[in-house]
Formats: sequence, structure tokens, C-alpha cells
Amino acid sequence: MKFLSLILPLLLLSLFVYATFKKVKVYDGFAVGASKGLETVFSILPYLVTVFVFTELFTQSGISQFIINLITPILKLLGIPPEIAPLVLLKPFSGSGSLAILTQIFTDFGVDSYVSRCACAVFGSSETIFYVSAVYFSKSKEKRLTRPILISIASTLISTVFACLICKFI
Amino acid sequence: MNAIFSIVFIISLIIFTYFNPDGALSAILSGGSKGVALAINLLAVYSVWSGILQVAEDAGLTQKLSKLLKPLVKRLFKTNDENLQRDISVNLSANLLGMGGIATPLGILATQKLTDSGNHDGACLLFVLAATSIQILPTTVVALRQTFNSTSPFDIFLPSLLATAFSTLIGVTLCIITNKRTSKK
Repeated sequence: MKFLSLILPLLLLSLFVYATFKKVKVYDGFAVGASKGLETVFSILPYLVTVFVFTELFTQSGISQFIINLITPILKLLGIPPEIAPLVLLKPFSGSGSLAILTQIFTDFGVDSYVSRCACAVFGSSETIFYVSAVYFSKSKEKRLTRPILISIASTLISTVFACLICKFI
Repeated sequence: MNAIFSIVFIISLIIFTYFNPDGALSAILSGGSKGVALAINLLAVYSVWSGILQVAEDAGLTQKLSKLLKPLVKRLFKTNDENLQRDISVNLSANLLGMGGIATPLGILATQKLTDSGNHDGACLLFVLAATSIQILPTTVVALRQTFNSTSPFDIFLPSLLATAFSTLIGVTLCIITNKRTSKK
């Protein structure tokens, strides 16, 4: 699996070789692109702050713990180990927060245990939905977020059940 | 979205006022500073990746990629705008390779163009594809497993890939089903 880490450097290498062959002004082009990147960050900054304040309130007030207690029996019914309930709930909100939970699960249950493998599959197959939605729609005047967010949460939940099922066999 | 925000803000502030009045301001501010810290990190990530992307665009590579994916993009997103098709093609390919630094700035642009032209189905689909994105390389998880001395850090690769492919499939299906319902009305 060592070759996987070669993909990115090789892609970049071929890009710059190709660009030089095509007589692209690499230096100028890179700088133009970089300034576009800066603009992007400034336009999403207000939304980043908003989503993070939302996430902090959600976790620190104890609402998240309350919901975790509420959904644990339901997860059990669906075949999801209850130990990963905090991960399932927090992943849509916070990437760094759920990474911390994943680390905690590794420490508590051992990295090669069934629970940890489920947690990995869940972590790898879902995204920070609220963050991505805030960022993607940050420049749109009309933000119709309800349908896309509901669809993403539904498919993430279904695939979580599926992920825990596969981990039993693979 | 506004409703969810209001509910969480109000309920959490009630809880804070009742149990821990000193914690409220610090929670709000720590959220704000986490957002700013991430933005500073993203300043580096986005400007570097946007620079690389610009070079690829000047070399004509993004156009080639767009031509390759055009039949798929045109059918799924129902758009004839060449620039938009190109943004979407590059966004999808970058998401597939786990290069969020390229995918996200283009995703924002494409979503803006889609919603401004009234193509909310397209914007919805693009977001769902990003939110359930197929990640070929679960690099973060593999690296973390290695630091925990896992006997086989890579054996999570297949379950992860299957699960994420499955979630994308469901997401796209749900999008298409709900599209038809809204257009019938």
C-alpha cells in the first residue's frame, strides 16, 4: 500500500512538467490562483465562525450528550455498537471533535477491535455536513439547505448501518 | 437551517443560564476563535491549491477533464454552461482524490452559479456528492491507526470505501427522487 502515498507527488510532478511543456507562465499563474484562494477564505470566514459557535454551544451545553443517551438504544437496534454513538452524532458537526472521539475509542477498546474498525468505517464514510453546507452555500444568495442536509444525513445514517455490517465480515 | 440554529442557540443558552452562567460566553467565544483558527489554516491550504489549480487551468488540463466528464455532468446537473461544467468536473475529481483544497473553492463557485440560475436541484446534488464524498484514500484514519500500532492499519480501506460508495449512491438516488417530486408540483 506504500504506492498510495506516491499518487499525489506524481500528479503534481506531471502537472508541472506538462505545464512547462505547454509554455504556461507557471509563476504568474500560481500567484493569480493563490489570490483567488485568499478571496475564498475571506468570503467563507463569517460562516466558519457561525458554524463553530453553533457546534460549541451544541456540545458544551450538554445537548449533544442528551441526544447521545436518547439515540443509543435506537443505534443498538440498527446493529451499530452503542460505543460509537458519540462519533455518529458529532461527525456531521465537527471534524476535529470527531477525530478526538475516534482517538478515544482506539484507546478504550484497542485499535484492532470490532468497535474501532466500525468507528473507522463510519469516520471515513461521512463528512462534516453542517460545515460543508455552510461553506458550499456561502456565496449563494438563496440558501435552500433543508433538502440537501436531510438527504446527506439520511444517507450517512444508512451507510453507517451498512459500515458496521461489513466490518463484521471483512 | 435558520430554525435549527435558533433552536440550538435558545435551548443551549437556557441550559447555560440555569446550570453554568459563566460558561456561556466562553463557549461562544471558543467557537468563534476555532472558526478563525481554521480560516487561518485554510488561507494557506486554499491559496496553495488554488495556485496549483490555476496552473492546471492555464495548461488546458481542466478543460480536458471537463470534456471527459461532460456527458455525466450534463445529464446529472442539467446545465449547458461550459464554465459551470468545468467547475463541477474538477470539483468532483478533486473530491474523489481527497483534495479538498481544490474541491471546496470550486464547489462554492459552482453552487453560487447553480443557485443564481435557479438550478436548486443541481446545487443540492453537488452538495450531497461532496457531503457523502467517495474518498479513495482514508489517509487520516490509516495514519492514526499506525500511530496506535495497529497490526494491519490498511484493512479498514475496503470497508471504508464500500461504505462511502454506498452512502453516495443513496444520496444521489434520494436527490433524483426528490427532484422528480418537486418538478411535478
